[in-house]
Amino acid sequence: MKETELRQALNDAITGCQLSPYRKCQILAQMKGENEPVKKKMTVSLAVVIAVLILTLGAAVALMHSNIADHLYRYGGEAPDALLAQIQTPQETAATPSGSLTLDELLYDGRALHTSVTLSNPTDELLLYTVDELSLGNLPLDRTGGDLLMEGAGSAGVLLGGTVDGIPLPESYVLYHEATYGHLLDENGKYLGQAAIPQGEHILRLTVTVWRPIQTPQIVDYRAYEGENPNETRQCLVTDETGYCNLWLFRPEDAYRAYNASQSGSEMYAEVFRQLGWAEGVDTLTLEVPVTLSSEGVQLAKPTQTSYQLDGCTFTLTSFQLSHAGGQLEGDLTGDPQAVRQLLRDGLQLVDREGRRLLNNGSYWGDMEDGKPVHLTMMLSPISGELPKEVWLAPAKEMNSQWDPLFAGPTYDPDAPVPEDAISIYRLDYERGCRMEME
Amino acid sequence: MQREALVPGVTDEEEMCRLMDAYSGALLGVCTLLLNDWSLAQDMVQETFLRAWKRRDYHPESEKAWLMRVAVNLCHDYHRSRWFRYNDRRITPEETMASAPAAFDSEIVQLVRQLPLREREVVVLFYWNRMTAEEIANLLEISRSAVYRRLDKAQKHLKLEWEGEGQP
Repeated sequence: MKETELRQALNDAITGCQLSPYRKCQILAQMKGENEPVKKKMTVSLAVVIAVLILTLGAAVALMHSNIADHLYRYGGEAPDALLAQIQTPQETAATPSGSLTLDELLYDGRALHTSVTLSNPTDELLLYTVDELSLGNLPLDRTGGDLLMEGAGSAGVLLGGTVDGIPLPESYVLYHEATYGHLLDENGKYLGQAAIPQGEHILRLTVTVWRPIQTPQIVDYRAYEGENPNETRQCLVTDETGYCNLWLFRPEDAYRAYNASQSGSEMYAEVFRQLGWAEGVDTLTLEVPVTLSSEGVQLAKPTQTSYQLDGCTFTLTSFQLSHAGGQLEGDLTGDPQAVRQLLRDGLQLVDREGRRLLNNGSYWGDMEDGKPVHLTMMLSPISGELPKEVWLAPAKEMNSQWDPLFAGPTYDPDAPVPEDAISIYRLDYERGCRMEME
Repeated sequence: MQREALVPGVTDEEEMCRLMDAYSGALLGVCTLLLNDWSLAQDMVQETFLRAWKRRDYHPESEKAWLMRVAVNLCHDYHRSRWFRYNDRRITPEETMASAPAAFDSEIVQLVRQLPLREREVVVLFYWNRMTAEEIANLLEISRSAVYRRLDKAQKHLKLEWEGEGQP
């Protein structure tokens, strides 16, 4: 390999990355303290009020309030009734004296499985909870979307109940999770690849380990570490005022290097936590809920054709899924390499032109080798209101972050003149793009 | 009037937007290479900018270098939990990179991704970010000789031919 080839390959990979607009919004919202992690303290009186409300409104056809809907539309817009009607409310609970785990809501949107789960500590004792398994039948689900990402005894947990340094910690914690695929394994546990979330009847299984702190946890300000490796061993659990417990930041690698893969995760962490003086495992909560996943009734927008002409190239759809809960578009760009490069450089966007809605929630593309198609993937945002009858795929000809308060957050300028044809922060060059009719 | 340089040292939210526009893509790419995980990399970039915001009263010489330092350190720290991720949940790099841009699957980048973390991070910082051995040593809090050793090992693993340009 030559040095220039290495530099070029790294450059191609790194410069092809884009942070999604929603991720940027999330950062800005968190900066302003508007998007704190969903950690709600539920008092007895609040629980009673909620129970009465649920009983009173139990007969209502559509779900009036939903954690899943709140999450999907956290940047604006109202959940359409069609989506609310699809949300199942199993309200199934697994409870032991040391905790309860309730599957509050479930939504299958034809592609992804969304879940909302509440973890509660019914005792006055301070306990640590880690989410250690999420599966559908024999299919372990992807855990990279939502709160479950950092959970698990190896990475993070939440301390509930009791007080630390005089600060009362929450008694319950609401988790939202979105799985878009599962991990296909053979009988020996060897990874075979991704699998789509299967429709039909399954058992959804969620396992939570409950730990009792050995030594009194300590409140810290995680911000104090600023990404620098503190390189220190903590003799007790460390948390912040929300109860969030970062379990990897303060643990030296040596603590678990000696262990081997033949041990199960819970065995290994039980030993590591004990040695560190952090916690000992006291209980396991296992929730198994029979669920039926079906795309029947899910409103989907589907393009009527697969091939479209863009400026100097052809775009061939390989997959397209758009529901009220969002979706994904994938396809290949073929034709004049210069034209393909220019379109990508300008920024291809997918919009509902008539409804003036930006559908693109981040896109990325593959290698740009002359003569080979460039594979484009675009994540699509949740949509409130009617699904579009047609969408446009077109490059941007102008972008201004002052045009859209939702998209641009603090850079929004209410006094900035917004062109009539602007959608969010873009003006698109429709002549170089294509119209996709939907059915 | 020229604005005062920002972050860290961010003076307002507009500047934060500028920083994100300017550096988020590169940080995401570097984090993806270091973590071999597209989704986690996005989390690390998000955390990097949040930390920059919280430290906006700090004025480093180079905002890009500071952000890169925070991001690289975050990734470095996160690797402590990789044991769990790969062994307990049986998740492999193939799936954690499934959503990443296809350029990460090129033959050369695949080779880089297979390097041990210690070698991978110096390769990314040296060959892509064009940092000197001294800068890398400062960032990773290791000695310059350790940087040379890691580069040397990585070059052997990659069977890299020197062309002069990148000699540390």
